[in-house]
Amino acid sequence: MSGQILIVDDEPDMVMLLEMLITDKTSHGVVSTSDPFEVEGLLKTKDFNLVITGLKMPLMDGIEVLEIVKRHDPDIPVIVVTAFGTMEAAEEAVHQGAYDFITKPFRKEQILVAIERAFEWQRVIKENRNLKSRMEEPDSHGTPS
Amino acid sequence: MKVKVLLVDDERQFVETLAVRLEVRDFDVATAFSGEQALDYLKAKDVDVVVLDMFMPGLSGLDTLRQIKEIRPHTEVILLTGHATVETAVEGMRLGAFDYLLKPTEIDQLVEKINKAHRRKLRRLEEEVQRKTVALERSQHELAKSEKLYKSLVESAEDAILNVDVKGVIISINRYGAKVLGYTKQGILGKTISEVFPGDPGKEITRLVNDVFAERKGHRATLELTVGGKDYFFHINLTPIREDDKVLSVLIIAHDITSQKKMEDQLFHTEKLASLGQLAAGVAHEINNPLAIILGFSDILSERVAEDSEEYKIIKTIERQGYNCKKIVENLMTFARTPEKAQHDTEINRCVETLLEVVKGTTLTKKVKMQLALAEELPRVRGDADQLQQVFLNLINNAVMAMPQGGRLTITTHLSANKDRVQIKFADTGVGITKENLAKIYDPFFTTRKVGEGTGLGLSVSYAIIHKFGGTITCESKTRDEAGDQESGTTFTISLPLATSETAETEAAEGGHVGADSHR
Repeated sequence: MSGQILIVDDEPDMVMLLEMLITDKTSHGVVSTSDPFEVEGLLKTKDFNLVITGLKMPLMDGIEVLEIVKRHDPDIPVIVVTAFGTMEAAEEAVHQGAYDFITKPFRKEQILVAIERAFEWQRVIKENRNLKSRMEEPDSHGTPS
Repeated sequence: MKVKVLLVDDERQFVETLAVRLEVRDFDVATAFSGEQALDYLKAKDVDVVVLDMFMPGLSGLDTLRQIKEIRPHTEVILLTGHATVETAVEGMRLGAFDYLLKPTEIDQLVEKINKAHRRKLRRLEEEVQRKTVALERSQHELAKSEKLYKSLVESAEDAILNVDVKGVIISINRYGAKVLGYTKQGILGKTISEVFPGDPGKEITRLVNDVFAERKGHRATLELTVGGKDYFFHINLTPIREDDKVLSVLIIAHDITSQKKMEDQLFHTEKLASLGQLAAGVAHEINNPLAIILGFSDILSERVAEDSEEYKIIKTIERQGYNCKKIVENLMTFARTPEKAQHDTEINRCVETLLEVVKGTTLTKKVKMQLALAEELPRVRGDADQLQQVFLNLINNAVMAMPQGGRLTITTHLSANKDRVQIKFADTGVGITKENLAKIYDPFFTTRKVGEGTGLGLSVSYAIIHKFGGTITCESKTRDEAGDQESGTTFTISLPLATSETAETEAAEGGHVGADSHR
């Protein structure tokens, strides 16, 4: 199963690295930007399955990106990437609804595993929702208005 | 000696006749014809007795009397008065007159009264002398007492107190001062400042003393002195001893602040380490970003070239060195990290043994003989086993590096005397650490190894870890030169509180010796 991933980081080289890793090792499509202010617009252009964002960015930090994504669609998982030693900030991000975090420097396997798990999580969430709505459907039919 | 009498009356003839009659009787007589004249005379000369007419034009008898008593309090006054003015005479007695006589005056009676008055004057004078003598003696006694008090204060003071003249010669010094400077009191008196303090401190004090003489005001300074091979810090206070406008000598009070200074230095050192740690943490964090990119791309690139190619080797070298950077950064972060909330406890002997199991047989300990002396049944200590092992590995690593020709590393563990701490000693027989370097060993990035061989972080990280668990790490070292015939080497002593040490401490504090003894 291949999906669409949005990558956000203020460091263009980091964006390129993540992009290359994903296109080399997975079949997912990638859209990327080094300007977090573009995120809101980009989310409307495509159905994304995952957002990977830097945490500490000068103008808009990862937590804000996270909020934008969650407002757009709470089912899109968000992975934050942060430098080693800012664990508290990363934990805070998870607390705010991020799916996972990865500390820099990382091994490519860490990123790849996190991505696959995020996709799996999204799949389960969606399936869950489908099942729920299917269970509710006959119910809503049976209730006289 | 003749009795001196001053006759005061406006009736000239009476005065002159009386004067002659008194002179015949061997009195030394002066005359005045008004109160004013009498006062003028008395301002210039003293007399024993004044015979004063009460009733005169100009200044009245009573007013004259009043002023006489002011000018010459010891001079006795006999009043002459007519019958009509007896009341005035009584008033005169109250003002301090000796007696009064009615006019006309009988000469014998007058002579008798003059003699009596003179005797009273003498007696009064004597009394006064006596009184003054007693007062003088008393104040002398008081002076001696206060001098003694000051002397004992100065003598027993724990400050060096000395007095120096304009040439810099020590005129006086207290016992403590002489002792600190390594002299006897007699031996140091008469010596100059520059003789007693050789070198720069002597010059500095001499300069300050000269300043005090020139500016006539005090000075303060902090000086470092070496006395008998020991370093002292003194806070010195120089005060001019003045008489009128001249500075006679300079009082120097030197207060030993060595221990205070040492504590300040230590505090400064700790603070420096802390701020360096913060700085390092900031830098480390920043380095992680580019490092992630370098490592990430090396990884990608290494997959795109053949594994047996030259390029592959190069990329792998970049990667390896990148991971070295990562390691350094992680160490720095450990060094800077604030104490963790949850503290584990560790069994120290096991911790040492497992570590030795790992390092045994590696190149690390090839030429070095390891000796273990672990005390049995040690209580558990506060601290995380992994982190403590990191510290121990560091110390072992350093010890081995200090013994390139081989040597002996002794690791001992034992319970402290008051049973509230466990001590772990790492003693090597290596080259030792010089005094200058000993002060810097915990500084981040301080290393004596070649570039690339040591990061200068090992001991700073160890220091941070041990302190995090409430422990201490100390170092004693002897270089080959210092050791002489004995063995050179370095000993690191780590002291860690027991895992249950908080309760143990209160028990020991409450129970004193008994409590400490009964405690397990």
